[in-house]
Amino acid sequence: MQGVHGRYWSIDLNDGSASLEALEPAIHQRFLGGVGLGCWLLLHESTGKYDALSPAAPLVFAFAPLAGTALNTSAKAAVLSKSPLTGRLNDALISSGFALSGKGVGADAIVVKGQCAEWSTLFVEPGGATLLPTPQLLGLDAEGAARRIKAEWGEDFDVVSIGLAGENRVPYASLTHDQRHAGRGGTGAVMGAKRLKAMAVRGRDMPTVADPSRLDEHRESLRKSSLGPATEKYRTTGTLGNLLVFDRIGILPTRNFTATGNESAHALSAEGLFEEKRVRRATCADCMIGCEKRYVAADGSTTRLEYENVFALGSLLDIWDLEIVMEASRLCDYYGLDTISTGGTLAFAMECVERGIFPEIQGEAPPLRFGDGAILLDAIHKIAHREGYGELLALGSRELSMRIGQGSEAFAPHVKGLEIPGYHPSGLQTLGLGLAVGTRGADHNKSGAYDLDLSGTVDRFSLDAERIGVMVDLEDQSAVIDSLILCKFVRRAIGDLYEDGAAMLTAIIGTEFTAQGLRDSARDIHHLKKLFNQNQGWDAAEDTLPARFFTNGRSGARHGKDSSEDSLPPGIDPAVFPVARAEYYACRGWDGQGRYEPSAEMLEILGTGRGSV
Amino acid sequence: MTDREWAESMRTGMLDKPEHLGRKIAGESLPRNAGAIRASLVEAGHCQPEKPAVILELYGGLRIKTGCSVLPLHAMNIAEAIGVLRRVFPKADDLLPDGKELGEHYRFSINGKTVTRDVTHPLADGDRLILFSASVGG
Repeated sequence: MQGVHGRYWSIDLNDGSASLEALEPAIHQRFLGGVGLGCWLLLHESTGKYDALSPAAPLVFAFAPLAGTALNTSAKAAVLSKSPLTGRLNDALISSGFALSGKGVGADAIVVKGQCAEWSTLFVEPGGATLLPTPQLLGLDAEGAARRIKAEWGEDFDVVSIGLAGENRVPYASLTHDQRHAGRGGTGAVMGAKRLKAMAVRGRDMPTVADPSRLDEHRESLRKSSLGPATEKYRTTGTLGNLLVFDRIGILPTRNFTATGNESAHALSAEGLFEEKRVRRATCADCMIGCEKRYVAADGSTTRLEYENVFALGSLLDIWDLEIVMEASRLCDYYGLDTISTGGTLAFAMECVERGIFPEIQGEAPPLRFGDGAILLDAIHKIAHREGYGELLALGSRELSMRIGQGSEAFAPHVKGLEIPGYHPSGLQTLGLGLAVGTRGADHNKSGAYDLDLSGTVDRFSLDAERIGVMVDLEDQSAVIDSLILCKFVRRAIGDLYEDGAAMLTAIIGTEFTAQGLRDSARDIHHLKKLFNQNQGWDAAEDTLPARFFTNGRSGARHGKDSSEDSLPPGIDPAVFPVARAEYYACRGWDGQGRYEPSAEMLEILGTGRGSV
Repeated sequence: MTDREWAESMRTGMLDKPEHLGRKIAGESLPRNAGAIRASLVEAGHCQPEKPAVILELYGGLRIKTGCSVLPLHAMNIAEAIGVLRRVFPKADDLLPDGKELGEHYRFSINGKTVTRDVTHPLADGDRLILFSASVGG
């Protein structure tokens, strides 16, 4: 088998020992790489239910077959763990040089377990792993720590690191590499719990490609198609191009999802920023799209512009001052906080304060108010330091609503504890179901059902069982893309993901992959995700949305920019939702309660598949 | 009204808007049910329908490239609206669908509600057309 190493590093932080474990070809053939391989490793390396922040909890960095082949947008790696925020699977992606250098250490994955005796940095190279105490990095932001590591040990290291939020185990702390983040679900807290400030990888031990000339054809084809209209938005405005359109079609959430849109939306828009020429373009390694746009502040400093950041720290909090939103985003990056969970939790807390149900701190309610930018910035400092009311906000919206009670769970904006991204589920009801059943929680990158809602083929303001097959296929496509790995921004540039993906894998690995095989892999990867969650205590009651998004659960709805028209889309019909969800379970081959019963063959492949190298 | 004037009014579809008929003729009066008559003539193919006045909203790269956020125009359907847009901004061709179809990469929302990629979708007076990229993720 070419194109992959057929082995992974297993590293024990308790004593710094490292061993190379073999991966049988059948694992790659079935679970591909990236998220698929990572799911298998996570199940293989864990037993039963465990605490996400315990020393024994595995942290998996899974590389991918396409990484290092210079296929456009393929420089990505998967990071998997149990999420301390959700208690469920957390399968994140991280981009750029780390994915290439990581694969270059001569392994398809790095699995880290245990806990360092003191704050340390892990160095992994083809020859082995070294654990060095680095207490001098404590308190530094992730980028600052990476700069120190590279300056002291070698500029050719690629580094993933955590900021103060990860050190303090904020359950939605992120992991950072080169200003890009495995942002959601608290991977940074898992690193922090292991007293691992950073991991640095260096190596050029890449596997050979089975059929270089055939791969060249795919590379050229993907290059051409990914510079066409399919990626125009990402190339021109980046993801922030969503904001004004979402405002106009009524799915831009504001004020903790109680309204959509605002007449001030233009102030936060990509179009407005381009008018003022305050945007700089950047790219990941091995990418020609360049979706990354950086906001240039008055002092010349830059902050990454992403729709989700601006939504979560802007519109969701009714804050329309771009300077404030960008400063909040910069602070989240500095401390290593997921912006969506930070904004979602703050929005929930602001509504609780407005309703008079937020716990008093030293005799008074915290000054959390919608629209108050100064409070937003102060709150982010407090969350990262876990001080004052920041200690409560650091819990995330689900845990906080459980503490507050008084019916607040009806408007805590999360699924399984993961805060809802910037797509109002009531105006995108297929996505609403996709978020509800998501194994990671409310993750718009795993479902992708907004593509169906906005396809013009279904009524996005309603839900039915007939569309579920298409929804499942979109979810399957995400699983395959996350396992090859490619950037989802080229998904529309690829003619047939399964045919083309199979052909790419065949050219790289040398064994035959088929379109049907990739479809089967997608299903199996979802089975693994569900199985992991079942092992951690998943229950079908989790597969839902907060009551706010159902027609019978409305409260606190506001009128938007046009007082003559309720800006909020109609809610999801609570009678239809369980029918559609049952259809989803049936399409996945799960039982009526949404449970997956693994076959003996699946159990065997989970228990075996590796040996000593 | 002369036969010629009547025929012209039929051609332009302005029967129910006498102020548009031009020269006034003493004692001129229109049928009481002029609107219904015109509708039946349109249906029979004897005159052209009046085109609705709509507003096309531009976003993203198209807005940045053209410097235009809204374009008022008259169009019976989305295909005609795209045709007008292409004539007004010929240099934005590369960012526009060809008007025969929207394909995989473009969507229209009518008044922020209905989403369609059907270019024959009929338009009504006052409609606002939101042209956006089908790539909404991120």
